[in-house]
Amino acid sequence: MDLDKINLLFLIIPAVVTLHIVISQLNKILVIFNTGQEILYYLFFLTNLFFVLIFNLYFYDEYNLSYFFYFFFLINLFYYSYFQFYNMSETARRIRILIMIKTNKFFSVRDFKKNYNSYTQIQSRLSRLEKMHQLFKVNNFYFLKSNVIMYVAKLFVFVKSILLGKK
Amino acid sequence: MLIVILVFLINISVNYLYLKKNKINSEIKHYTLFFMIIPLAIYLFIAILINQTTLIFISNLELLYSIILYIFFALALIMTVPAINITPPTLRIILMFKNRKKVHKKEILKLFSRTELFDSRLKLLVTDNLTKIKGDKIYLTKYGNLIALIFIIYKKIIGEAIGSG
Repeated sequence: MDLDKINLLFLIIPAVVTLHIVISQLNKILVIFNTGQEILYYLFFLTNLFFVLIFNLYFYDEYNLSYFFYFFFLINLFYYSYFQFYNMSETARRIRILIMIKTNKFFSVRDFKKNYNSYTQIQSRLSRLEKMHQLFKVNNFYFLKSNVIMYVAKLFVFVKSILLGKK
Repeated sequence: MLIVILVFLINISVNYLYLKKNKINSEIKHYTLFFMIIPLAIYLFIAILINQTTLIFISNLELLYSIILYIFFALALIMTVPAINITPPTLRIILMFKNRKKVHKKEILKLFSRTELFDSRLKLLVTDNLTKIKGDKIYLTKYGNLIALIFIIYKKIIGEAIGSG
C-alpha cells in the first residue's frame, strides 16, 4: 500500500462527527427529528451511501476491492462506536451518575437514593420508545409498533451468549 | 485486513476462555488491557522486529493500516461490552413483548427495582475507580471527573441536554 489519495477516505470519520454536530444544532431550531438516535440512524445510511458513491466515482478504477472493504469496515466500526458513545451520553446510568456528581446534583449516598427514582427512569425510556415509534400506548397498555428494536434485542441476547457465555 | 480479523477473533476466544475461568472486578481495566494494551504491545514488538532485523513479512505502512483497523475493532468491542454485560433496561422492556401483544405499564415498572437500576451501577463506579465513597459522601476520582467532563462538553457541542440516564 502506498500513501496516496486513498488515504483521503480517512477524512470521512471526522466529517461524520462534524455533520452530526451540525445536524444536531440545526435540529434544535427546526425540530425535524424526535430523538438524537433518529438523527444517527439516518446519518448511518447517508454515510454509507456517500462512501460507496465516492469510492465508485474516484477510486474504483485505481484500487482493488480490498481497499473498499478496508474502509467499509473502518467507517462502520467507527460509526458503531460513535453511536454507542452517543447512546451512553443519553441512556447510560453510570454516565448520568458521574455527571450528577460533577454538576453537584448530589453529594452523598443519601442524596443519591433520594434523587434517583426508578419510576422516572423507566418512564423516560417508555417515552423515548414512543417517540422512536417503537411502542404505542392505549389505556396504560403498551403495544409494539415496530420490530426494529425487537430484532436488536434478540441480536443482543445472541451476541451476549457468544461473547460472554451468558443469557 | 484478514489478519486483523483473525487476530481479533483469537483475542475474543482467549477472552472467552479467560472469563469462563476467572471473575473480573473491573470491566474497563480488563477490556482495555486485553483488547488494547496487550495487542498494541504485540504490534509494537512486530514493528521493532521489522525495523531491527531483515525479517520483512509486512511493510511499515501495512502494519500501520492494520493497527488502525484493529483499534477500531477493539473500540467497537469495548463500547459494546458494558452494554451487554447487563441487558439494558430499554431492551428488557422490548423483550417483554417477545411472546405478547400488549403489556401493562405496571408490569413494566415492576420489572426494575431501584437497587438493580442504580445501586448496582454506583457499586460498579467504585470498582472501576471512577467514584469514591467516604462515609456517606460520594466523590469523583480524577478518571471519573475526566469522563464526566468529556460527556458534559460533548453534549454542549451537539447542543443537547444531558441525557436522563
